[in-house]
Amino acid sequence: MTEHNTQPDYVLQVQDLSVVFDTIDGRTEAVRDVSFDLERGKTLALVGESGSGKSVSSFAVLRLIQRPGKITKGRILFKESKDAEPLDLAALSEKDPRLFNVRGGKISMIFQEPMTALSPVHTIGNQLCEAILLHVTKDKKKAEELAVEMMNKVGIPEPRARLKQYPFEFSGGMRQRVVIAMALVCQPAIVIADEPTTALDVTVQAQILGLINDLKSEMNTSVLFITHDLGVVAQVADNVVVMKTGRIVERAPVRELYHEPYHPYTRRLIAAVPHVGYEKRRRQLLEKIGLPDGAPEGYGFTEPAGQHGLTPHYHKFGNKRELLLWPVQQGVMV
Amino acid sequence: MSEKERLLKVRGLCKYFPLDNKRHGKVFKAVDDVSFDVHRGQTLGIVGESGSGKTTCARTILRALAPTAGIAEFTNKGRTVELSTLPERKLKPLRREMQMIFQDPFASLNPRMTVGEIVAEPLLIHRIGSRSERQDKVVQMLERVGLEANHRNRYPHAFSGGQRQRIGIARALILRPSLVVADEAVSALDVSVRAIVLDLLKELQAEMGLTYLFVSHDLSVVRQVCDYIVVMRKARIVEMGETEKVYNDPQHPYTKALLSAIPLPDPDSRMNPIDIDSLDESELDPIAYSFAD
Repeated sequence: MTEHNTQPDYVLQVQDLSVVFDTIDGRTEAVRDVSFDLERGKTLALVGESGSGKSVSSFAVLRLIQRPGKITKGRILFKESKDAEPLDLAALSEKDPRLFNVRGGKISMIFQEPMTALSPVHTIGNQLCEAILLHVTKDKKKAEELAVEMMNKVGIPEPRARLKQYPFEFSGGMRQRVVIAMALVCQPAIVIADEPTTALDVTVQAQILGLINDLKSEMNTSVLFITHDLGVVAQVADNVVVMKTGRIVERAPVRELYHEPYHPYTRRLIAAVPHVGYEKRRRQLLEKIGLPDGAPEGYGFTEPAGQHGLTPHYHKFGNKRELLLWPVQQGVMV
Repeated sequence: MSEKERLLKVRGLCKYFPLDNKRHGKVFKAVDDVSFDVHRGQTLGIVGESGSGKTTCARTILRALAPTAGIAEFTNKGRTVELSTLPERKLKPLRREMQMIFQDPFASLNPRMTVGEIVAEPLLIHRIGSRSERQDKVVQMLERVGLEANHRNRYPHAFSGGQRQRIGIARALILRPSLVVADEAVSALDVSVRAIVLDLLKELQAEMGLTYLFVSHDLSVVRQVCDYIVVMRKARIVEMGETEKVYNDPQHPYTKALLSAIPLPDPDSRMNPIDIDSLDESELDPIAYSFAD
C-alpha cells in the first residue's frame, strides 16, 4: 500500500463492444461500439431509456446474451484484483470454466423485479445457500452460517428463522434485500444492479440505495448501476455513461454531468426527473443549446439523415469527459 | 373550493376483508373511514406506499368492490346517485360515466382481440351505435390518442408499452365518461414515454372536461398532474390538500417522510430520508378533517 499509483485501477474495461440481434426483420444493432471503464470500488451508472442498450451491455459483460443475439465485436476486460492478469470475457468460449467462475461468483447481478428473481418454490435459505455452495464452500453448515451473516448485513431481522421462509412471506423491500444478499454473498468484485429499485416505493427505494452504498464501501465492491432515473444516479454514481439507441452519447463524472450536461438527450433525461422545487432548473435544461466550448468545428449532435456509413466521433473534454458528435453535412445547420 | 361543482362525494368509506377464520370476526381494514370530495374537471391524486389501500379505495368508489360502510355520491348529468348502495342493475348504465385506465399495459389488453375490437368493446357492451358508427368512433378515438386508423387491425403484441397505454386510454375514453380512474397508469412506462402519456392525459382532460382520480405511488408524477392530493397510510387518509401546498409545506410526519425519500437530481446534495419506522405510532395519527356536509 506504500506505492502510490496514479494509473487508475479498472476492474472492468469494455472496449468497442457491439451486440446484434438477427431477426426475420433483419439485423438490429442493440449495442454499437460501446466503451466504458469501471474503477475499482466505484459506481458507474449506465443510463438511458428502454431500448437504449444499457441492459444488453450489462448482460454482455456476463455473457448472458442469448440467441439470436450475439457479441460481434469488442473486448470485455475483467481484472479480479489490482495485479491480476486481465481476462477477456468476450473471448471465452461458452463452456469455459472460467466463465462459470465469474458468473455469480466474481461478477453478480441484482435484478429489477424481486419477485421474479426469486424462486417461489424454494426457501430463501435454500436459494442463498445455492450460490454459496456453488462458489464459496461445499460445507452446508458453513454455508448456512454465511447466509445468516449476510442476511444480517442487509438488515433482515431474525435471519435464522427467515431462512426457512418462502419469498411470498417477504415484502417487496425485504425481497430486494434478499436478492442483494444473494448477489453479495460470494464477495464479488463487481455487482451489476439492473434497475434494482424501480419496482419499489420511494421510502423503500431510499433504504435500498443507502444499503447498496454502505455495502459497496464495506466490501469494496464495484457497482455497475443500470437505471433510467437520473435522480437515483445523482445519489449513487461516481461516473455516468448516457446511452441512446445503442450508442454512448455522453460520458462524464457525475458532478460535471449534472452541473453542465452537454448532450441535448442528457439534458432531457435530467429534466425528466420531476423533483419537487425543480421547475426553474428544468426550464433551463430544456432550452436549446449549442455545442459546448472546445468542441471541434464541423460537428453536431444529430446523425445526418440519409447518410449511412458515417462514423461518429467521440470528442474528449479533459480526460474523463466525452461526447458523441456527428460530422455535419456541407451547408446544413444543426 | 366550494364554488366548483362537486362530482364525487366520499364520506366514511370503509372496505374490510374478512381474515381466514370468519367465526372470530377478524377483519383486515384495507380502507378505513375515508372521506374527500372530487370536483369536476379536477385531478385528484391518491398517493401512498404499496399496501396503503389507495387502489382498493378507488375500486370501492367505483363499486368494483362492495364497500363495507360509508357513502360515495356521484353527481353527474343533473342527478346525484349514491353508488355504494345501488343495485347492480342500476349500476351498469352508470359505468358509462366512470371508466378506468389500468397499470399494466401488457396484462390489461386481451392478446387475442385486435386493437379495433378492444377499443370498440365498451360501445358494444353499452349497445351504442351501429357497426359502422362504432368503427368511425374507434378510428376517431385512436387518432385522438396518437395512433393510426390502420392500427385497429393489429393485435396488442405489435405495440410498445407506451402505445399500449394509448390503446387503454382510447378504450376508457370512447364512452365519453365524466370520471376516469387512472390506477398507476404510467408506472410501467419509461420516463420519456411517461412524460408524453401524461401530457396526452392532460390534453384530453381539457378537451373532454374529464375528472381524474389518479392513483399512484410515484410522488413526482402526482405532483405533475394533480390539483389536489390525498395521502394514504395504512388504510386511512393522513393528510390532504392542494398539491402545491402539501408538497411545499407538508403537515403530517408521514407526508414529510415520503417527500424526503425522493432522490434529488443533484450529486452535491445527498438525500436524507426520514425513517418512518423510527417515528412513534402515536405521532402518526391522521390529521382530522371536517366536512360541511
